[in-house]
Amino acid sequence: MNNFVLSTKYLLAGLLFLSASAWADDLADRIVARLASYPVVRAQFVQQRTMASLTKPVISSGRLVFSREGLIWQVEAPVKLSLVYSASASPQSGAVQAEMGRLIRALIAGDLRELRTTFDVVPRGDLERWTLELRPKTAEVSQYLRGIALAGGEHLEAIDILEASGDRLKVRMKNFDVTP
Amino acid sequence: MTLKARAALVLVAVALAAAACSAYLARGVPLQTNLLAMLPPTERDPVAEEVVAKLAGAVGGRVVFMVSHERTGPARHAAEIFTMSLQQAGGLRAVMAHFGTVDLSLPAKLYAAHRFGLLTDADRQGLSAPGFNVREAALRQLVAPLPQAELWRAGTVFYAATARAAAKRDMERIGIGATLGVALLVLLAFRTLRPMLLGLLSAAIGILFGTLAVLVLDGEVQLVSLAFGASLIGEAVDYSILLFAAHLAAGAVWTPERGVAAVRPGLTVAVATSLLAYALLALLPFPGISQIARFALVGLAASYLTVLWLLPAFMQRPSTRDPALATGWASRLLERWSAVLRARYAPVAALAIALVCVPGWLSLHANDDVRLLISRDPELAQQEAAIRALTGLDAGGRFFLVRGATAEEVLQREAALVQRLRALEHTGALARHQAVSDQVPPRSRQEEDRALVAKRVFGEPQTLLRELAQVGFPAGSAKALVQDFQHSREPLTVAQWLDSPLSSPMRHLWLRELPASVVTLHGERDAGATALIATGLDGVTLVDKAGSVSALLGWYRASALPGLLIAAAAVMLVLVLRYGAREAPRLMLPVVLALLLSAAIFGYSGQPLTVFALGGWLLTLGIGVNYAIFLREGMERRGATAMAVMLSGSTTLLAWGLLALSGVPALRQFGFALLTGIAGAVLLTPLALRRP
Repeated sequence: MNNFVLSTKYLLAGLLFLSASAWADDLADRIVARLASYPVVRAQFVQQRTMASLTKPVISSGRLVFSREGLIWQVEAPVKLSLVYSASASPQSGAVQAEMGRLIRALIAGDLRELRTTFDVVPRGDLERWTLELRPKTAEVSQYLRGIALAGGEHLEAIDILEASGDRLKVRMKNFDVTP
Repeated sequence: MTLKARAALVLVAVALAAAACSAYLARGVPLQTNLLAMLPPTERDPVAEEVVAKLAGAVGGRVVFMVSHERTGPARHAAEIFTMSLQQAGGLRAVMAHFGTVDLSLPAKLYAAHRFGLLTDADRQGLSAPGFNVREAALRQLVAPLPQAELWRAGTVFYAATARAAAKRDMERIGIGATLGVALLVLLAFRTLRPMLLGLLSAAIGILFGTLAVLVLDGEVQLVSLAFGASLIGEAVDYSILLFAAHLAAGAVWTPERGVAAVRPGLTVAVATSLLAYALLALLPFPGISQIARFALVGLAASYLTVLWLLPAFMQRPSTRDPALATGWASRLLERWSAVLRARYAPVAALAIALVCVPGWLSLHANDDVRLLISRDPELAQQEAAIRALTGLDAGGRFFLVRGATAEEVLQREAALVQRLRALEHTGALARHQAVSDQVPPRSRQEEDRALVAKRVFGEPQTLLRELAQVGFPAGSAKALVQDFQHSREPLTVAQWLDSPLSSPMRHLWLRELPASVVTLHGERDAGATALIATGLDGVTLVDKAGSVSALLGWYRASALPGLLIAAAAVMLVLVLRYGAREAPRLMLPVVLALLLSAAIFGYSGQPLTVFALGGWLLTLGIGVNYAIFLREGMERRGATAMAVMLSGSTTLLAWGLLALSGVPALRQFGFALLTGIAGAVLLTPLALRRP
């Protein structure tokens, strides 16, 4: 009898612990699940790259299409350029690309599990107005990446990437269109 | 010649043979373990062979351990501990641990000074395009949210695992089981182990002479001949069992001379059939098969003479057991079983069995895959697949060998090959390749590239400085760039690359002393396309080690079938000479039926038809026909002869049939052919007797 009470107590404690830890991640998970709920998102972007080796930031703008297959990044100014980042993992890419590829895949799939193996994902705010901070967990990643910050509401509106060298990439998105 | 004189003669011959054999072996064991050595010499490319051996050295000597954990920290910690204990344990020449951190300065150290001559295909296209403009090119790089620069390819660590230990283990287990089983049977039948020891002695003498003959005639022994040849023990042991059965049957009236006289006719016919069959095989122009035949020919003759001349000297005393009591059970069993085989319904049953066999024969299919020689532990294969999937590393057996007069020529030829491989990779026929020229392009290519850069980028320094300033490059770094370009005139060399730690996973691809290089292929999906790609390229050959071995096995299988028929014809000839054209087919009948049954069982059980199965059947033919001969010749002591046949059959089944349980497909095939063939031959042997 005693044993039964004792084990029930542990079981309850375990369940409580599980739901508590689920709660902490819940907001982040709900945010990415919502982002992934649209099969296609089109938007306009402005990107600003700040590099220690350049005297001034490089600013570019254009359109993007975000879908299950990946990301199409069409730069319209100051040069015309189309880039495609496929959702499938490519084994040949380098370290930074690999992490960014993970980020894109996580956002497409609405699943943070893979990302959590290398980053601590810290959510703030609520589902309508949120920020997600990605802090590198391991020395390998912090060797080249200091952190990534995402912000938005219904859609992802801002990406800030801070590299270990101090170089910075800021992307702002607006005029979202979800018609397929 | 007296009994003792003959025995002494045999012993002297054995001593001489042993001395000669050890003299040969003292000079180093010329044991040829290379299966390819059995190919006719023209089909061998010595350089390719040497490269294969070298690669095997570079590859086989490596072990990859993957330490995994869902979290990086514990995984890394475990990997560190594992690395330390590996280093302490010794036994490995070097332990390389990769914890995900790479020295990011290494590529810069090697490549930075030569970078103006190192362009990717895309760079080259961009620079050659009519509207090329430095400002736009720089901006394209800068506006991409993720860097697009292609990093160097991760070096492949070859992963090779063989389950040789497993094969050895089950050989040992089967060997011990078989030896104990045979000992038990001999003990049951004869109440002493002497027959077994003397039988093994005669077999050992056969192997000794067989080895010596092959050493003298060919200068080297092929492992396969030794293996196939040694399996003739089965046949040699049968000869002595026959003598011991005669000993038991004679009872108190035994004298060695009489015993020998009683078994000689049967034994001689049995040996004659085997010798003629192997003599015909020895005439075949293929080094492997003819060596096996020479080995068997000499070995069986030696065993035969040992049984007739040496063994009787150890059997002076007659048996103390009552012959009728000791062999009566076998005689009764033979009678009952003969009655079953000759029952009125037997022909109907035989017809039914034949009909049932037809689908089995029709479903026989050939398989010459080299993997028959290797046993694959499923768990090991799974781990291997996991490492491959996670790391993208695999070491396919096929590779291109690129040769040239100079290192530069090798690199140029390789680069031409790589260009074509890229096209294959684009279509998906190939996942990746690894080539030295991807790391160090040929000098001519580097010079062309540098010239292109000189013209398109640094051609007008004032324009360049202005455009770089527009993008945001500080004036100082733009000027430094121009200076860097002017100072970097020397192309990157293979020697520099070899000196860098970056090359360590790929160094074995460069064969400095030839000179030659190896281009490895990974994830081939269209073997035909890869094979065709080198046509028209000088100095490029596709080396397909596994393919050559498979071709060799197929060719053996194809030549073993006519071999089997030739052997059967030879056996038939001896039988006709001895028993006449009308009686000879009767003696052949049991073993032929047994082989047909065995073939049907192979078809039904889905076992492929391989050279190993045919080898098993060849042995079955020789051994099985002996049973019929023994029985026919030994009718006046039928109990003892029946016992000898049953005992011979059982020992053969135990010694070789148990191989059917082996994990190595080749051995399993061989064993399965013997198991089914010999069992059938023993059961059907009474058909060789005339109706009473």
